[in-house]
Amino acid sequence: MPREMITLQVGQCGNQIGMAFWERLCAEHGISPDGMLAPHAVEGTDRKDVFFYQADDDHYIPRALLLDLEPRVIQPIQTGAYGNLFNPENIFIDAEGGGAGNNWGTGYTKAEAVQEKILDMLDREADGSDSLEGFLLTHSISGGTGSGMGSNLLEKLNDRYPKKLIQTYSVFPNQAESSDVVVQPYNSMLALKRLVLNADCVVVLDNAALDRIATERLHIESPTHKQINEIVSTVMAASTTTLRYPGYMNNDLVGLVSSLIPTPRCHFMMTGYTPLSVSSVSTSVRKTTVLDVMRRLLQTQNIMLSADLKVGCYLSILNIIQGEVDPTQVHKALQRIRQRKLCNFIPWGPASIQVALSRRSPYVESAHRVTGLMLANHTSINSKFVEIAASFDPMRKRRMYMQHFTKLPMFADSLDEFDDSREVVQNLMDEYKAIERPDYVDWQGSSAAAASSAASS
Amino acid sequence: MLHIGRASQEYQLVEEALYALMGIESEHIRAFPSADGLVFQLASSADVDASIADLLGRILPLASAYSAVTAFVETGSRYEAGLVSHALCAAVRELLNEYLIVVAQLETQFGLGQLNLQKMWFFVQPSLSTVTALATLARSIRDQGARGGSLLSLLHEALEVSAGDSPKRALIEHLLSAASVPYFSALTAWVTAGSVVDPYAEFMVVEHPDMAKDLGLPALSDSYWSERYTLREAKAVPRFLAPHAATILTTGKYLNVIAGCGLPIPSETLLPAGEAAVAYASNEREYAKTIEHAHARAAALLIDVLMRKHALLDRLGSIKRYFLLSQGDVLPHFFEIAADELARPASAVDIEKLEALLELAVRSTSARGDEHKDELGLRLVHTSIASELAHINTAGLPSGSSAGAKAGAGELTGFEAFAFDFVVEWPLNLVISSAALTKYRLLNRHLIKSTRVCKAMSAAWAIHKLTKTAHVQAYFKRAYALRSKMLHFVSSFSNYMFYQVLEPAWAQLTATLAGATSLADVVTAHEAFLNAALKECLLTHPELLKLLTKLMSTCSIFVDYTAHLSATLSLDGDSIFVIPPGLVDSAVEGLEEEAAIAQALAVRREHAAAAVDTTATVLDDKYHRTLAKFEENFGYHMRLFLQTINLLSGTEKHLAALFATFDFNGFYGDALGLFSYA
Repeated sequence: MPREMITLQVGQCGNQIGMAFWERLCAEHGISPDGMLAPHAVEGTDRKDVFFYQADDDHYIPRALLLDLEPRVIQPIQTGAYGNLFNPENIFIDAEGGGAGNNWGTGYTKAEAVQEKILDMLDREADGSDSLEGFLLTHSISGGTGSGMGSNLLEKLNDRYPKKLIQTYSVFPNQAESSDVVVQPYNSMLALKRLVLNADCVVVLDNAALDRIATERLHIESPTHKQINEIVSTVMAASTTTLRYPGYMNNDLVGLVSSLIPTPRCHFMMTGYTPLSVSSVSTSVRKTTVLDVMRRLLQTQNIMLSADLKVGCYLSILNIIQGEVDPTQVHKALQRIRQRKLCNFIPWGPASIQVALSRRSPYVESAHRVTGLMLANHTSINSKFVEIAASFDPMRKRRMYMQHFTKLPMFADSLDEFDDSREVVQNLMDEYKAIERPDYVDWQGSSAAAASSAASS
Repeated sequence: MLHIGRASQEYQLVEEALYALMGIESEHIRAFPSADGLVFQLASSADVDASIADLLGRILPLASAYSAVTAFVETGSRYEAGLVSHALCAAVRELLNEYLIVVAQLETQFGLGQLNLQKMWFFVQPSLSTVTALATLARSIRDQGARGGSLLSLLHEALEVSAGDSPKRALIEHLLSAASVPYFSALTAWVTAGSVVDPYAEFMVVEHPDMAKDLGLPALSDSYWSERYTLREAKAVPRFLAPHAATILTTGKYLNVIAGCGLPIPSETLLPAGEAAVAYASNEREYAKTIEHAHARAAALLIDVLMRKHALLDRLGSIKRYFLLSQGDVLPHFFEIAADELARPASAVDIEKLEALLELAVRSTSARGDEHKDELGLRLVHTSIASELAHINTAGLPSGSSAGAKAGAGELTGFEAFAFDFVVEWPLNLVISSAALTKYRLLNRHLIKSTRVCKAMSAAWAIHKLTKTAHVQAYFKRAYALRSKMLHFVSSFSNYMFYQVLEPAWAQLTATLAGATSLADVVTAHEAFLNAALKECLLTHPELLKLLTKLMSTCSIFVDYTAHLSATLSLDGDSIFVIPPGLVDSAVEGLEEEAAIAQALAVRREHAAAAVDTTATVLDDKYHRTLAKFEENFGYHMRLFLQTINLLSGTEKHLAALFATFDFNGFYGDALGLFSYA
């Protein structure tokens, strides 16, 4: 049972990071851009079938849907080196081609209009799997297509495949940067609601932190999209490595995420990676050991979340360590981290750093003997929601730029959806706060209050 | 003899003494039989001059000694005396020849009329010491019934005793060196070719030829190594070789393993360059060095066969992949496709069908590239892990078959009884013996059990995730928290076993094996690995194992309960929490699509609100009481488990590590007031 994952890449950003991900996977599995297995990669003990399937002529096809409302990003993919990699039937570009105009509502509405076509694509992919594990969505939450169409897809996926896992890699906007998308806070908030309710695990790709890491850690003055995407694809590839190179544990996504997410709504993961490198920039090669890697993974500068990690606490940590690992060091590293109290955990239940030693692709050279990825659930992720809410609230209060939405039929009569989303996100923020407390289990929460108010209305 | 004079008397007795020295009785010098041979004495009736009698009294013991030695040579040369004795007798006979030459010279002098007793006494003195020494040896050999190795020991002992008497020492040295020739040639054959050339049952190594058959059968192979060749009882080993006996035994055993693999033994390379055989030397270092050389060389040859020709590490790697679950996709896949079969009681499982499914599973997972996959099999063990362990502990070695050990009351399911099996061929079964495989199987079942509970907990998580759209999170909080504790428990324990026990122990094993210079090193390292793994995975501690089992079963029951509850609440399928797909569709039917979206969203909200009431009724007191029971039960056993671990962790390093794993964030330690040793 391959425990297949179907990837949906939506919108400009989603398709860009999705593409970077596929390039990376192809390299790691020795699949050439045309889908054929490179001669050096014939005898592998990897699992290509989680993310790929084989066509009649044996070439590997990604289990991927490339979706966009405009051709700007997907067309170059189709004409580029990897043009023949994807199943053309799985590529959807809206016939109008006008995009979503950076408007969540437009993206959502347009997606609704073409839902039948997209669901057909989805069902066909799902039917082609033996034991579908779930879906992996790549998108950005701040724009129109990834955010709006992505939201719509999340709802549809949840309705249609309630038992399957839905994991997203969601790019969160850099709030510090002024954006030309004035409705970004609206888009983000509306998308966030779907990430809370319709996704099972969200890997937060924080643009602010990615930029910071590129400049500070990799010393790139003004990092390009390509370089940022390379970092993202490194993270994505590493976080799926236990699925693709089976080891002792975490060989399916549910096993991997279930211990990361103690309570279902608090499912927003931050990532850390060390040592990081991108192909275009040479970095100094340091000596790396398991201990170094595990310690560095807990250091703010290696964590891809721009938040103060000194406040709040971890709900869970999974370290995926790759490379030439001396396994006797794992215990030592854990012991040291524990003794020095390098990380704070929730007080209401047992929590720890889980370690997975994973194999590394033999086909991709790494400058470092050992690399590590951290997937962690930390309450300081709240700061991202707080930031979004902080820009959302004043705008919503003054109905700024609301005309972009009210012109759409779905918002013509009511803006309840905005407030509903805000409430869902507020509940999430409250829960992330409450989960830091020893009495979390008895916490009745804002949800109970909200529920009763919803019931009485 | 009074009637003749002194001179005639002497003449007569010189002649008779010459006869006696050749072992012949005469008129006045009589021979009396004794245990050693003939004892020559002047007849009591012979009334001779006192000085003559005195001289004869000194000469005649030589005649007696000669007779004793001749008797010894005669019996010692018989067939049954053995090669060592034959060699010794041959050497003695040579010495006797020298003695007879002396006697013949005396006879010549006598014929010339130049011999008197005084002269005779003078001439026989050198022979006297040799022959009496021989006679003394002969007596102790006869008294002790020494033959073969013990004969050599006796000579060696005599050599040590004669340290101050250099002619005697030289004599014994000469005899020992001669007598040890056949023994050392057997030794040479053994340490250079592994063959036992020992027609008289003298050699220190005994072959048990009936063990030669069925080399490949695992049942025989374990005992093959220890029983095919053994050392003879201690006294049969020459004392000067005793310190090297074990080395000698294993050297030939190694060679026999190589021969058993159908490989030629390069005998000429076993001895140091320029040496043709192991030979006795008065300096022990000389042959010790040769033996050690042969041993090192044989060990190296066998290691080469094991490591290179039979790829031991590779094979162990395959075993690790399956038995220790290091490549986790095979088993889940197999369990999935064989779920129906494995869910039955173990006795009702169709083994052939399982085997076919296993083959299918191996083919369609990442294990397909494993060149040893065809050696993989399966077995159903009809006893629980704990009782199988108890069986091993009491019986020393487990009986390979599981027949008859079935417990009538709680029959295991196929899942619980399942274990991998592996065909290990000669000579690898010397390392991966059936006893080792039994240990691997125990680990295998133990690991399977915890990964299955892990998987079940993840399934409970997947049920819980269905409730996230519900507006009633508070209802589930305690269930989430309990599930999270349980999941933390099983996954931490699995994580501990895999990454803190097995991986490090494995790394150490492979490092040791890479540097191993003999089979003994390999076997010792492998056994140490298995024993450490069993111990550190808590299999050897009955009390902890019992608590562990209890905790795991509480987790499993909770998962069943969660599944049952979800069915009652119809969280599955037509869920009240997850909006059924049809609902939205029907609500928007007939409306313009875009306009319908707002309404659909409203429907969602209403639906979610309605769910609150339903949930509140279903999740009544009974639900809370049940949950409390689970919390109590799990909490109670977890407490006991952690307290026990903590109590023992002052002295047991692995338990300190395990405690730290469970108590990483101090949750349990704080609650129980326990101090961590890690």
